[in-house]
Amino acid sequence: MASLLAYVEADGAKPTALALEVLGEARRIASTLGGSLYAVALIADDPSPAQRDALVRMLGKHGADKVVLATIPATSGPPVWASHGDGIYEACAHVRPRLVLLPDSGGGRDIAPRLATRLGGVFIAEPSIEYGSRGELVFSRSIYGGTYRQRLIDDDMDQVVVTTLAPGRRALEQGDDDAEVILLGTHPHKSHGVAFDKSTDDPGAALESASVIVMAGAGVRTHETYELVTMLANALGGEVAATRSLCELGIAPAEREVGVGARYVSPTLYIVCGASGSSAHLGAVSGDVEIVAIDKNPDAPIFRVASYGLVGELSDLLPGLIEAVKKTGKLTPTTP
Amino acid sequence: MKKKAHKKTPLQIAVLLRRLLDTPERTSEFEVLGQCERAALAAALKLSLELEAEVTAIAVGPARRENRVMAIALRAGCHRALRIYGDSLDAVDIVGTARVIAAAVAELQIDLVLCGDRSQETLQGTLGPAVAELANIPHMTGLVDVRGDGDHVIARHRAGGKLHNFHIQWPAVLCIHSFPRSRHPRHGAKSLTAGTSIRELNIDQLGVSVSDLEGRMNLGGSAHERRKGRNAIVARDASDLVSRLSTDHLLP
Repeated sequence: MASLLAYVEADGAKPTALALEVLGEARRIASTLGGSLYAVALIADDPSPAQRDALVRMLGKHGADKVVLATIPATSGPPVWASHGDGIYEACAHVRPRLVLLPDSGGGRDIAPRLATRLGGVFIAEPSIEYGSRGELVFSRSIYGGTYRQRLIDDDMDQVVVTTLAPGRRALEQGDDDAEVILLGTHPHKSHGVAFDKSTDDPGAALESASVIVMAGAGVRTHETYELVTMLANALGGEVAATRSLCELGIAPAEREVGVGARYVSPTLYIVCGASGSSAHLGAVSGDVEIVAIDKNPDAPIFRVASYGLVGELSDLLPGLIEAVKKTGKLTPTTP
Repeated sequence: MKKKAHKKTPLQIAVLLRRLLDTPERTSEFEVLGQCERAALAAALKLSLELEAEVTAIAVGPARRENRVMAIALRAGCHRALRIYGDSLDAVDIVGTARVIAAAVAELQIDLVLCGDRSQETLQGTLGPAVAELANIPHMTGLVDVRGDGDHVIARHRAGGKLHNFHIQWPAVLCIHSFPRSRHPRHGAKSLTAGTSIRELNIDQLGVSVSDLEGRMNLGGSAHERRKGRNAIVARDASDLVSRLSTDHLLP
């Protein structure tokens, strides 16, 4: 296989955890298929030689064969196409990769589809990556709320593939720390009429990194039952989420909404209380999650995608479930 | 793409809409449009009030599929509706569709393009950035709020646990992820679109030929129906459920 290129998203000069996971996955693919792995980092302003060397060593240890460094003018905003896109494209033009991997972050999602378009390639978001019988790369992902699976085979195409990878992969720390360095020099920052102003905290951000989420659907109906859902989430050390309908009723705050057009989540355990499991809801939940459904209707569609279920009225079942969870004794309740 | 300076005509906004493919028998706005596209429509109508702009709804595809979407857009308050059609369009990928839309954006001298951040069916999020690339204008995805402010839009982008405000000047493509419901304009408030017909354009009329799209045919891979989901194991009671979750190491 020809070269792979992994974009290293950074917070300041430090690669994000997800960027290192992406680099680890890229290393595994490059090693399996026999390609060179280029890590591309864009750094605001010219870093000191010591900072630069530390970054190169880190990326080498995490699997990069070569590190492409490009400096861009300082920006206090998040990495988006407007500030970082041209620099990443230049790196791609230099390396001519067959596969480009980016983190499935807000910035990665802003950059990747446009990069694919500029490269004349194909963008596929958050795929599972496997190897076919001929050793070819196979990208697949759930579509239509999980009822269909889209499959893309790398060998069948002439185009470069650009992909974003969700969290949950293993970062490597066993590579060499003497990766070759390629300096692309300062990239002129073209603002393109986009200017960063300021950032504020996202009140529902904890949902996106939570390993346990308890979801309240329309079946919750009352503030009292929503409080029980919140107590269960707390007992599990998790976060409480809600469907659009419950937020529209004013029972749950808007920042707790999970669904397409709201917030995407990828917990390990997802307990769904009183939600039927529409595509608009489950489309925003990672395909790898274990779902537990609690609903009074045993024929609710959510039971067809769940691993476990409880059937009954939420107000009857949740107090017992909270107590049972507390009795396991290994959970640390958190305050909301 | 026209320049904003010395302009005498109102600002022109386009909102890109598409019918959900898995609900062919349904008719209500909630079932025909994806969540992000509904948010884009609401955002476009709100910006039209704030910026005294005109809104054109654009859809690409056959009348039997997209005219319902166009009717919803007109009833919601869009000033015009444009449906683009062509024999080869069902075979092209999203970038091919974006090429057609970029041609329409140029033809109609659109200043701001709004679209859903991701389609409800595939969650890919390619269309907006691809239109922006092909029209050579800026874009911003993941927007959870937009507000018109004089000669620019203040757009709120959600990423990395933060809400980031950007000032964006037109021309630009804004990919709307969600939109505060409290700020939705009242649909149907405008009557000027009553009786407005849907304009139709063949891709030839936009200067796009089938050969222009050939490189974007059949690039979406294949789609396979998954086997029907298993039925959940129904636990006897709460203790039984917790015991099973614990055995499966699913409890933190």
